[in-house]
Amino acid sequence: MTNLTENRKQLTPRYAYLARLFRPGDPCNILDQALMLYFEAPNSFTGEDVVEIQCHGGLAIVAEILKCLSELEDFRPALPGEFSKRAFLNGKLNLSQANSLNNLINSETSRQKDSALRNYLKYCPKSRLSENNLFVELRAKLTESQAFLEAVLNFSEDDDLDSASILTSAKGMIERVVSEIKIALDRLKVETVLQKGIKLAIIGPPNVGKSSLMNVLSKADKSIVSPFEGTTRDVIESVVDFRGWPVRLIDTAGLRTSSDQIEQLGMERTRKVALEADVVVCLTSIDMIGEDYYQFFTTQVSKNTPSITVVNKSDLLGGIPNDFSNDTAVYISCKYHQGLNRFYDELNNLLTDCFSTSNEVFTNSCSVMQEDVLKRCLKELQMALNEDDEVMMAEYVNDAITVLSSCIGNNVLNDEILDNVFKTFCIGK
Amino acid sequence: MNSVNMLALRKSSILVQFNFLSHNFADHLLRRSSSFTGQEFQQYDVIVVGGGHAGCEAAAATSKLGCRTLLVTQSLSTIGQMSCNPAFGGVGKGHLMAEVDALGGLCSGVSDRCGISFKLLNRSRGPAVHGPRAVVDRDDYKTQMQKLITRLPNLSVHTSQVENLLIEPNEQNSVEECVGISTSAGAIFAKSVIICTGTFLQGSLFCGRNKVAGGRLNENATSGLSHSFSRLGFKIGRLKTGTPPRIFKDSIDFSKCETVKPDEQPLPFSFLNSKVSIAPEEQLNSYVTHTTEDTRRIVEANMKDSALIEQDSVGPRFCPSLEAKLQRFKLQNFQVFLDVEGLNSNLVYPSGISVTIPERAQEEMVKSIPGMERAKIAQYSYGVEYDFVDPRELKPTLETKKLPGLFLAGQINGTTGYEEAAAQGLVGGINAAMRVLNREPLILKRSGSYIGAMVDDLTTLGAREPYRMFSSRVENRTWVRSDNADYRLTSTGFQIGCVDESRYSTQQKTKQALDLVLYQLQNSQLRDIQLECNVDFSKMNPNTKLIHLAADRSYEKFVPMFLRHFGHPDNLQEDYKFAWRLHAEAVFITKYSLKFGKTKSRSKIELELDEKIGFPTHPIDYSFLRRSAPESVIHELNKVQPPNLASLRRVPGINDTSAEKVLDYLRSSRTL
Repeated sequence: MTNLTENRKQLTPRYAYLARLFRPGDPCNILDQALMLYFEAPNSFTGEDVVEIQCHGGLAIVAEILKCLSELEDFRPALPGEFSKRAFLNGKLNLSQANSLNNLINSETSRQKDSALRNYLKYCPKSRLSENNLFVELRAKLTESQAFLEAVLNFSEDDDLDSASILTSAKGMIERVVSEIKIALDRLKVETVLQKGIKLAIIGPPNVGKSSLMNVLSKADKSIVSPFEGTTRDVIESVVDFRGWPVRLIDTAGLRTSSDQIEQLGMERTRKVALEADVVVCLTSIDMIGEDYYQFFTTQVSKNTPSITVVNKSDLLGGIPNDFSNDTAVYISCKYHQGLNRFYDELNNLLTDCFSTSNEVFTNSCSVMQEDVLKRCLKELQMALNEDDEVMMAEYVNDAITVLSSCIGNNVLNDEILDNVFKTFCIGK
Repeated sequence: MNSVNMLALRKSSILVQFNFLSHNFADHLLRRSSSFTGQEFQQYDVIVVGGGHAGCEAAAATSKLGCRTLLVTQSLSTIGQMSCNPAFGGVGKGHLMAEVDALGGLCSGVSDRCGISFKLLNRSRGPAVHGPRAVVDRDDYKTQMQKLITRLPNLSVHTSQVENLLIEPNEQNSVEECVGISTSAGAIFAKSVIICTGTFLQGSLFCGRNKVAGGRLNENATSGLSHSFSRLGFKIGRLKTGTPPRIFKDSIDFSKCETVKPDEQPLPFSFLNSKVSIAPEEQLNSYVTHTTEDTRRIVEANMKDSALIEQDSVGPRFCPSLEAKLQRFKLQNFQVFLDVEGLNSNLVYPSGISVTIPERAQEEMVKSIPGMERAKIAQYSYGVEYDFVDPRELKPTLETKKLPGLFLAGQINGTTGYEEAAAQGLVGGINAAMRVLNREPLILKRSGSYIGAMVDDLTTLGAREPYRMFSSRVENRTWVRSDNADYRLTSTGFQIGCVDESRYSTQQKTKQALDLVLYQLQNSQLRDIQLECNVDFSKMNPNTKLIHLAADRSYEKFVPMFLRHFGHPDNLQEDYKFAWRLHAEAVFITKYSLKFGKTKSRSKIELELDEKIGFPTHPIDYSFLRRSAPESVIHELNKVQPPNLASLRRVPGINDTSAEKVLDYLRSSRTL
């Protein structure tokens, strides 16, 4: 660092120094006046010695400083994610943290950020939230049930233990963990949806204004809007920040019988999109309401997919008809921007119902690895519950614990299980 | 050497010089001074100090391996003494015995001969946790063990008190090593010394307010060695244990107790035996009774008069004193298990009521238990507190790291139990002999044996409390079982030389027979043999493979049938142990192997792979981990010096990152 500044004295860790940076070996060529902070190993993000330079924000300044740095021996630009990787390798971050950090950095909407930050902090060992770590919690519960099994396997005949009731309790504990994992997997799905963006498909018959609604939602002209039926033949996607929700809007081709091959292809795709979507907006228009599209929608949208029914072109009636005020459908006019606030509220409510991750729950940063860990764990536990041989049951539970441990770091030593046994049961003669 | 020789030695001039030296070097360890050279010394290959279960196995192993061995004991009559419960085996412990037997050890064979009540624990559960156990006639065991020991080749027995270790620099590398012991009778030299002094190191006996020095009742404690160990810089800790009162059998009313019957088909411990010595119908029953509210009241009222309770030494949680149980479990009454101590003994051992309250209170306490209202106490319960050496001072060979040539085995390493001691005696004995013979040491793997798991636990994790073997400590227990210990270990023992020809050939024959029958069972279906048997198979699928029936919990009724069908000889059809082993293998093949065989779970494969990554023998300075591990962990690593990656991973505080770093370091320094 001394190459870059005139300040040659030893930097005190965690002190900010105001310094002029110059081109190495050329003190006249000043790059910028900047703040320098020195973090001494292991008390830095990566666990290695780190100097942070806070310079002025121009692209040229940053570029020039980086260029000068990389001319120095042993210096090179960090690879993408290298800081996190080093932090991980040096034991400063665990895998869960590294994952959630990645999500945090990649967050685009406020809700994504909240969820990722919560996870990141939760996995920090020093954080108070760390007790909530799902994996640690599940493992603790499994270790306890394993202790019950081991009590039966090691002591039941020697000691005064009621093995039948201990086994029942052990099974009960395993069953509770199984249901917790299932809930966690469901939530994980929600988190995954949040990180990737909520797929919102707009489906409906041709020419009800699907593309118009999409444009209204994205506040930009993404889809081709024209008065002719069948204009949209492909699935068009745009990502918007809807009240903090990351929403991927998917416009679809109209659903109707058509002999046009291209259009049929598009409609096939529409059906597929409707099946894969996280939320579906079923759009029809006031002039089509006579046709039984409600019925039609139920055949197109899976029961498990949350949906909202919207009726467009309310302007044709000159306002929302009173007869329909009890209707669950939302009446809007894309053309005249009528009823949109109610639609936004309804949509927001729907998203909140389906995708909120409240603070008290143990949601996890979504990563394929964690989902895989939970699924493998679940599989082992289900095998355990189907087993009538206690030795095998213990083997399965033990493997589930090992699987969880791979995500946490430290292994459960056999001693910990024995500790649990002695805590709970009166053993020994 | 015999005792006559020792008398001669006692009068010799060496002794005078020696005593003089020992006086001068009171604060040093004894070194063979130049004044000794040219004198006649008592020189052995191996000295074993202590004649308990560890000492006996150690002495037997070294003498079988051809080393001239001296067994030093305080008293000839206590060789092979069972100082606490009159039983051998159990879950975990039975596994250790099977492995000791598979490696040519003594305790299983002697137990088969002297057992008076055999029972396979956990029979209703999977074979991985089957625990062979037997009540053993206390006097008979000692007598038989003494007979065996005195008949061993290359072995002499000598009675005296060991006072110190003899230390001398090695001629080649001038590293100090243990070259012998000094006893009350003089100096004795050997290339390896194994200390198996049990609870005798600075032992104190507690009963009520009384505290006396001693290792067992009426036997002296050893203090000299303990001082030697502290001066060598060994980390010494203190543990406590206890033994319950002994009751006169004829003063107990067994009709008020539940009866526990032994197995009708007793299984022998040793792989050399197909039957135990006692006739099944002559076996003795055991009895069960319980403590009462009165018992609790009496003990609680007298606890203030127990000196041991006030000591902050650590006692075993799995074998707690009655006081400890009462304190921890407030609402319970506790089981009391009554074992008769021998065929001709009038003593009963009541498991579960070890206390250190005063004698008069013990009388009262015993009488509060149903069946014992008129009981007479033959020997009062007492507690023992003793020094142990932190086993992290040891290599996996049980040789101390600080002083080459010195081995420690048994309760001195913080373990508890006869079987744990015997297993360590065997390992220490074999390795002491290997040192003398200049051969590769025997290090058993934790993935392949209970002994290996125990030694690894002790040498890498130490002993926070008296260490007892449990099946839960062994990761691979579906394969590492008591029924197949000979499969796993006997050929290794044969290669080393501690297993003789006849045991090896017995193992080979048994293995062949088992493999043949297993092959037949795997390749035959129920319909193939249905006609010949009079059992009703109508509810079963005729396509069921026979192996599944052998794996069934009611295997006993099927196996003899199958053996008859395949034309195996009568003696095999009647061999319970063979049937039991067949059953265990069948369970492994049909069930356990799902978790162990082809799809063996990742953690277990890793355990084995990690064990193969051995670390260099010279000490590693782990301070390079400074950035990824806390100081305490680095300190621990520097102290323990794990022998391989699997052991390293078990050091508390080590995570995968640190383990990877260690590997990187070793690779980069080209030591791996």
